[in-house]
Amino acid sequence: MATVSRRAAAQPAQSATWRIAAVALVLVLSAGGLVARLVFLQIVQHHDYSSEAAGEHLDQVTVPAHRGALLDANGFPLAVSVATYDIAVDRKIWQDAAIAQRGAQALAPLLNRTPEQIRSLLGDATTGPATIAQDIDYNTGRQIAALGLPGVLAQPREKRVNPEGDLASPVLGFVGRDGGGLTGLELDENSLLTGLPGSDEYERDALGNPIAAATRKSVDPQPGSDVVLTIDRTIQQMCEQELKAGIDKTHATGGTCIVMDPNTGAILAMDDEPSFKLSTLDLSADPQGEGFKNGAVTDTYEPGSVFKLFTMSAGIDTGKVTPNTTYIDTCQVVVAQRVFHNWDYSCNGPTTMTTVLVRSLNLGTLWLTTKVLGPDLFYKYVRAFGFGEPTGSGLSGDAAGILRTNADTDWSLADLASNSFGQGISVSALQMITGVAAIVNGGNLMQPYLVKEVRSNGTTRVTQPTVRRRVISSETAATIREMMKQVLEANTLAPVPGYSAGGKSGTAYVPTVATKGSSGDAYAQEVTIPSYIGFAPFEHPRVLIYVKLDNLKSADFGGVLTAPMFSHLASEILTYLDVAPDRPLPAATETTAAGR
Amino acid sequence: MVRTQRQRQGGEPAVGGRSLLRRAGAPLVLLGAGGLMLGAMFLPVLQNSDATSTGYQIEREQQQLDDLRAKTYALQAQVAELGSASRIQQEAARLGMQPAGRAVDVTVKVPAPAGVSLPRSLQPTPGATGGVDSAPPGAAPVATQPADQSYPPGDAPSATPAPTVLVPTAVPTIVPPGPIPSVGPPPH
Repeated sequence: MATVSRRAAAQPAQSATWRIAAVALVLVLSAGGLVARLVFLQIVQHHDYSSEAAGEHLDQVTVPAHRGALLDANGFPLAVSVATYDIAVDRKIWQDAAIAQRGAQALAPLLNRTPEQIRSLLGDATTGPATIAQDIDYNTGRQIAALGLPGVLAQPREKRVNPEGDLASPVLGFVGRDGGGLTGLELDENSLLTGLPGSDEYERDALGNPIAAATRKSVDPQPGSDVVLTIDRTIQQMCEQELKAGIDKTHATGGTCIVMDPNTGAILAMDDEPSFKLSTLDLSADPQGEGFKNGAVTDTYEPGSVFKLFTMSAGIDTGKVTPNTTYIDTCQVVVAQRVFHNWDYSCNGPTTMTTVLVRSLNLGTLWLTTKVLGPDLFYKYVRAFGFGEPTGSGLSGDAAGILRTNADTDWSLADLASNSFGQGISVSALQMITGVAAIVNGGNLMQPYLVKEVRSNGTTRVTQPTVRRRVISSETAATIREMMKQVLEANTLAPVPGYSAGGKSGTAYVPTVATKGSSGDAYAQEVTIPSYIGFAPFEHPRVLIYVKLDNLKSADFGGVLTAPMFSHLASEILTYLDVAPDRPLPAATETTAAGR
Repeated sequence: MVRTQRQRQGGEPAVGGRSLLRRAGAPLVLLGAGGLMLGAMFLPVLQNSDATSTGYQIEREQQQLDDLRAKTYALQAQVAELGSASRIQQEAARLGMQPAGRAVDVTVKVPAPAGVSLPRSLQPTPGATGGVDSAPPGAAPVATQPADQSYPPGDAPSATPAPTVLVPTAVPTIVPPGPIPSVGPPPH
């Protein structure tokens, strides 16, 4: 009996234990689930949730860096940045008519607009920010920010200012609304000018304002570097004025003027017309941006007779001709079924190489390439002078030009003949002056450059002139320079008063565009590109000047139209640079005792 | 019997005094503790207040720094605009100036004018530092020529020593250069 009763008593006890165990298990599982969830939230997803939490009460703003200045070679600012404000309105907040009315009335006197005008600037949209004023001056922006108007955002910005106005517009270029460079040196040197933006991370209150005593992490922005250019503002101004006068006088469609230090490749001035003006910049007028280029670097053309300098350099450097080598100049020459003649249809008989340059005889250089040098040697020198490849200036759109050689399938001997006097080959103005600089400086092809120094945080990094390669020997260079001197002195319009100099003119015909049914291998005889390149003083050249006029409808040649431009410009620049004259001025300037 | 000093001052009252001190000490301790607690409570408030005011001050000064930077940039731009080449030209024209013509270098082939001695009163005393201290008394000071300066043949200076004071003589006539004559066929 007792055993039975114990069993009967044990059954409920076992049942209770089981229930307790079940409850305990549920509790343990629940607790385990909670712990697991906590582990998941606090360990696995700790970063996400902590970031989200920080985002609720922390705010971070980017502090833009001050953009560096573009300075001319003497330190005069060409482009600087000043602090401004953009004013924007949160349309959603201004849906409240009372807030909008109060805000517009408060802003009106500061923005020189009526409240109605300000409200009309919001447009039809009901959400999102609407910019109602751009680039307002810093003090006004600060006043608006201090008003604390609901829905009004005062955003600090920078505006680019060009103290010299439109000077060197295509070279300098401009920046966009975000402050980044879009064209010219503003684009090419953007990484140097921009600097490093800073940041300001702070705890904010309910209104979004920083809590003064709370955690705050600020990283100061690093201002951009100041970039000192090789451009001299005075020489640049002379260059631009001379080019403008030349274009106005000849009714050319445009032109180019470059002044270079032939010894280093430093560009002292560069202008190309027509081009945009910084003071009247209108991006909407040219959405493709085709007009916002530096044509002296990007545009190519057939150079004409100036190119004969390179042909002659090849002939003399290979030792196959000397200045006194003679050829028989006939009236015309047929090469690959094409008839060539001199620009003046002259027949000169025995003619020296010097006369070829002095009188710019096409048949002379044609003889040199087709009968003496051959295509391999000729194109080897043409390439060595930098044609068919970018100049390495680092400027945007640095054109390689078009050079067809005997390695190309569609090349013929007629191309060789044309190329010898600068037709049938496409070059940029920068390539031309860089190539001639190699002759003037003794045979080294320099890398043209526009950045003289980069100043940053008290340190200055100076650009060292770079020799790309030796093209011709110094003896050849001296010979060609001497020939250029004779060329210049034979032209009564080219000499630089008071200075010995050398030069060469060119008049290129403009090829017609290929159309259906025509090969396009033809030239518009009534349209030319006259040009002149010259250096001075002769013994120790300080400047190399290249001037060219585009698409001229004139019967005159480069030696008549552009040589005076060179002469006048060289005279002005050498006087400005304080270069002592090395020869008497024309007309009587010497006095004698009797003259007293 | 001689009473002790303590007795004179009251021995029994001394026992009562300790009790009084004990009785009075408890509130003092409590007061001190309370003060400390209050101090501990207010210290963070004071610290926060100070930190807040310092924070505001930093913010104000940061803003002032930004304002000054902006003003500096604006002034730099203004200086640059005032010093621009075009503005200088405008101002020069307003003042009646004209662009300089072609520079004329003149070679004067006449003997240098005779020198004139300085009055004795203006001549430096012997032994004085600088100038021509080696010159004998009464001798006219003579401009010295650097030893390393050389002249090309024909351009050597006149044998007449250059005087320090020149008497203006007749100005040589300078014929301005005329236009360059254009002759020959047009160059290509």
